[in-house]
Amino acid sequence: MKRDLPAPEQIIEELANKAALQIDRLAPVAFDSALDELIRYHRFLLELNAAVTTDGTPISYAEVASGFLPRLPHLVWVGQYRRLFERAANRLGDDTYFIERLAGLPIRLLPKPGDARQPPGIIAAILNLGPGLAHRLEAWVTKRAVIATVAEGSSQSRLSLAGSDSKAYAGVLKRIVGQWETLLQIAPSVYGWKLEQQASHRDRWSAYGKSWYFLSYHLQNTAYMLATAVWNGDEIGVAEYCDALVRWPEVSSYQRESSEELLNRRLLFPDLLGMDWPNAVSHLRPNLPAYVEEPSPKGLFSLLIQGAHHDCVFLAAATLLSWHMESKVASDIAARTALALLRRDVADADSGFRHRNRASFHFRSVFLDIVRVELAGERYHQGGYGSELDRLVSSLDSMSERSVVPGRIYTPSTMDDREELRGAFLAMLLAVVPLEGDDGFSQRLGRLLENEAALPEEDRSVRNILQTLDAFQRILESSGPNLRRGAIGLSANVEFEAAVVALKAILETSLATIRAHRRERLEKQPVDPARMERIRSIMDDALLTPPADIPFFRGFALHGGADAGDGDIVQFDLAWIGKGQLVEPPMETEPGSFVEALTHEVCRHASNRIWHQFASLAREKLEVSVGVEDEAFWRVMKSTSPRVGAEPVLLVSRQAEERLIRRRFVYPRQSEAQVRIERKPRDEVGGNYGSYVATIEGIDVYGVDFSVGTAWLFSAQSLRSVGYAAIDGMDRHVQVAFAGDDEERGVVQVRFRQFIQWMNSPILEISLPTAEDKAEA
Amino acid sequence: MIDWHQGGWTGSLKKWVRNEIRQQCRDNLAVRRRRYSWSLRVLRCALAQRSFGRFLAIYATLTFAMLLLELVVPRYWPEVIPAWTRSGPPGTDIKALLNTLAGYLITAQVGVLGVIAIAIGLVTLIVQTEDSSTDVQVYYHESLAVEVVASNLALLTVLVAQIVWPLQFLLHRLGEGTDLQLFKLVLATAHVTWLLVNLTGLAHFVVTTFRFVQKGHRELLRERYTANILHPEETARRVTSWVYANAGASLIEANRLLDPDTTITFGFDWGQPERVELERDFDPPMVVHDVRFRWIRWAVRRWSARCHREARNGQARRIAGLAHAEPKLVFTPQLDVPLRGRVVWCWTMGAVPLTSLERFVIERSFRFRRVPHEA
Repeated sequence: MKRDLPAPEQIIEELANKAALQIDRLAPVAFDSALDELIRYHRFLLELNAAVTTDGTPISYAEVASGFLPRLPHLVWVGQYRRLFERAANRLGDDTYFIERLAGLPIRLLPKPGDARQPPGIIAAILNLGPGLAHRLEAWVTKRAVIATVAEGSSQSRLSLAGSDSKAYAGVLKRIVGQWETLLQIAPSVYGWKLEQQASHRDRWSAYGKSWYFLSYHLQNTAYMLATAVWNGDEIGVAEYCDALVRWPEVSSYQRESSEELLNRRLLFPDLLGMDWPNAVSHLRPNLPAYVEEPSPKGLFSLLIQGAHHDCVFLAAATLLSWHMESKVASDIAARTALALLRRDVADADSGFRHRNRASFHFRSVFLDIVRVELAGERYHQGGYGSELDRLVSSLDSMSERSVVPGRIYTPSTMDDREELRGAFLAMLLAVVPLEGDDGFSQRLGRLLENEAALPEEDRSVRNILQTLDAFQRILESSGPNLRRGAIGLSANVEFEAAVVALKAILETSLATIRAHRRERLEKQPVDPARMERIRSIMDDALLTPPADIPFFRGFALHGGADAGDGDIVQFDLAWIGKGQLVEPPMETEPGSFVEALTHEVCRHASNRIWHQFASLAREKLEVSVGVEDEAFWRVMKSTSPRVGAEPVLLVSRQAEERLIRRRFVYPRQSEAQVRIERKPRDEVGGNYGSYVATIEGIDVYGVDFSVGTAWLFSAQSLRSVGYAAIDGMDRHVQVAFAGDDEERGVVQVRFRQFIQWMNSPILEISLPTAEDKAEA
Repeated sequence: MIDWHQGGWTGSLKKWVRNEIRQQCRDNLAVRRRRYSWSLRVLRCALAQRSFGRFLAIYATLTFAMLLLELVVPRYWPEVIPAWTRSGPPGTDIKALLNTLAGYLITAQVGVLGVIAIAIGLVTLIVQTEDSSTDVQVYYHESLAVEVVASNLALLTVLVAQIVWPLQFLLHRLGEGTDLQLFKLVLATAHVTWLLVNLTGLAHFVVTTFRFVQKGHRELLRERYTANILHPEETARRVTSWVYANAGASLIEANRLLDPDTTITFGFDWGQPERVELERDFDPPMVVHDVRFRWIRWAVRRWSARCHREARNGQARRIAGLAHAEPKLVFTPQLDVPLRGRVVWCWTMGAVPLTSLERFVIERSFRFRRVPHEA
């Protein structure tokens, strides 16, 4: 009986059904009652599932689900409202009451002061109701709209609604946007911004930090709603959502404080909100003038929010421009909206706001915005502000995804991150690039980069900017029609060819300046001793850890220390090593295998010495009249091998004999040959598995670069021991130094003292019959 | 990292989840606000989840216990039975009294059943107009409607059957028992108590029914049901699956710099088993019911330490000379998904094998049970 009981999703679905029924009946009072019941139960479920971890972080059991394609309960609950949106949107022409009531859903679902705190995932799902509603409205608009020409005789066309529909829609949209903006007003009370005067900076900062994800989702969803309207060619929607996005900071009423003007806002990122106050201040220190002890949390928070808003508007504009460039939207609405966003134009006739907030759309400002976006964080990083910006780009562009068949594999057709907006960034620059000079950009960039400690990732940030400028140069080299379309979309009067030339020159100058500045810094920077010691220590370990890349030999002793022997000091150079990888912090992107590659080279050099010494030992000659493909040869080898000692090894020419052996004995599945053949596992063969052919009659056969007709037979135990004497202190068997301190690239010098001891077992050099000999025979 | 101590000395998954949910319910304000009152909890303890058959079975147990006492006590300890329980002059005629009482009780029970029928009819009427099937299910559950009806019918059946006290009659016919009415009195007291419980249940049922027609109370009913019944059960189910699926990472603490990443998965199959560790014939079909993670952790840590030792000694297998194959320990069964026929349910890949002791411990850490409703 217990199993038949209804689950929460069934209950909530039935409650949603009741509300939907009232929309169909156009019964506002009954609808209100049904909606209240639905919201009350939904809120109750959210509270029921709320919990906190031991460190006070809010979690929700409604976010717990597992299995293949897990369905998170809270998403199932929120999903019920989509049906209501659809029904209410369909009734928009009859009665706007329902859609207006539904627009207030997020504010009614969000936790109130005193309620259990909800984790970001739950808040995001509730705030996503806004875009959900916008989608349904756009669906209604596109169903009702007709194509109309902009002006008589014009070829440009736009979607427009009939008179009464247009009026109803415009009216309802204002109220919906109003409700959406009202959401921002609850942040201070829910997240406790209004702390008492005596509250510490730490507490205030913590309260601001907790509200960040709410503000961030709200901001990004506002941009998303605008993108939805642009995608659907909805002029009324674009005007309202564009105003909402541009006026977002004013609605949230953050106030600047005077000392914060001293901070360089382009280097402030909301990642600071994830830190506690002392940590945030220490991160800010390089960005503050010496005479400012610390900024106030409120002022700093205000700057961070404004910066985040600026980035969001900029990326939204770039995304819309990229749609225009790729002709994803039929009319010029995307380019017009992008321009309005960049200029902070608002349709609302509030001249005060226009006057206060109108941004100057000029070259230096746009370029510095691009630089800021690139400085925000690495691509592919999990978490952090950079990944939030990538998520914004990805979500804005997601609506331009083509329809796909589930299960098939497709090439991605939408943008995943900021990097894919570089074309749009270039189009913006081309639209405003001065044909003479650089609008003071180089000077500002230089000032921004000269205080490296203030950059989020120091030299890595500079490298990222270099990469971006390089990428811009490459795109400009192949400047296609899209770029022209983008630039003209923003500025109809732009002289495109001249602009490209001017921008190329600016990029070249900027790149040269930054590179020269970095080179100068690199030259001054000493090689980091700790880093060199780490490399040395890894090399030391590798040389003394069997098999140490020593080929063919097994069972030898490998030891180090003062009594290891008195061999000669060996020195060899690893050339063309970037100094940037040896300084601290690194000034070159270190390949994952940099140290491993160096170590491998050292081991290879050490083992080459062993092999050369082995090759110089006396060998006995042996002439065999039959070839390796002949079974008789192996009978001879079997009878001869005991002479050389245990674990016999035969080296043959890779070009000739190895092929013959493989063809005759190894490849055939069922060889009729009367010889014993086996393949030893990799672990037994050791460091040179690649050249191992097979073990025939108990002899390990390897293919090497010998001349044709030559083979060596010896014992794998011929090598008695290899020692490395201490050359720089008791436990140090390798010395590592970098030569070329004042250049970008140099030489890593490695020194060690190697001592090799051999057994007295014979080595047989076998002469095999050549092809001519065989032909004669 | 999951603290398996919460699952007791075995680290039982079910126990861990039970404690986790209990803790959450204790701390959660919404649960606390909607918790059943103590009187309702007592009533639910007496009635909830009991069927007609169960009520009769409980009563039959009591009757047989009384019968046994009536057989044994007069024979071995006749002095413990008080003389006043003898029926007839000079004392009260207890036999007649018991018969009269049975008549009253039967009348009361029939009346109660009538009230229930009216109430259910009323609710059905409301449901038809409001299209609220889940609400009705909640109502039936919260009003204890099914249990109250079952209990009343069971008592009515018992009262009718006990009019002639058939078992006592049989005992007397066999020449056993006693004329003293003590045991019948005990049973009659049980009947009266049961009737009182039924009346309390009826009162709860009637109150719930009349409140059900009011929207506010219906919401309250729904929330109470969700907080007390649905939430603990649903959350436990989801958390159990989640913890089971993600338990692998909490079992080992590898040195990430030195050791290869060890992967331990539960409820996920990587395809063809490489080295079969545990295999079993699941006939009849079975499901994983519980897992003792502290035992598994002990075995897994031993195995993982051996894997790391081997990797450090340079004996670990490499793939095409590039990197060590990461050791994997795979437990394929999913929770509550039936396993049928011969199943390889634990295997390793790119690692040393489990020892027989580790296999033994792991085998006993997984608790299988037969699939309900399946032969």
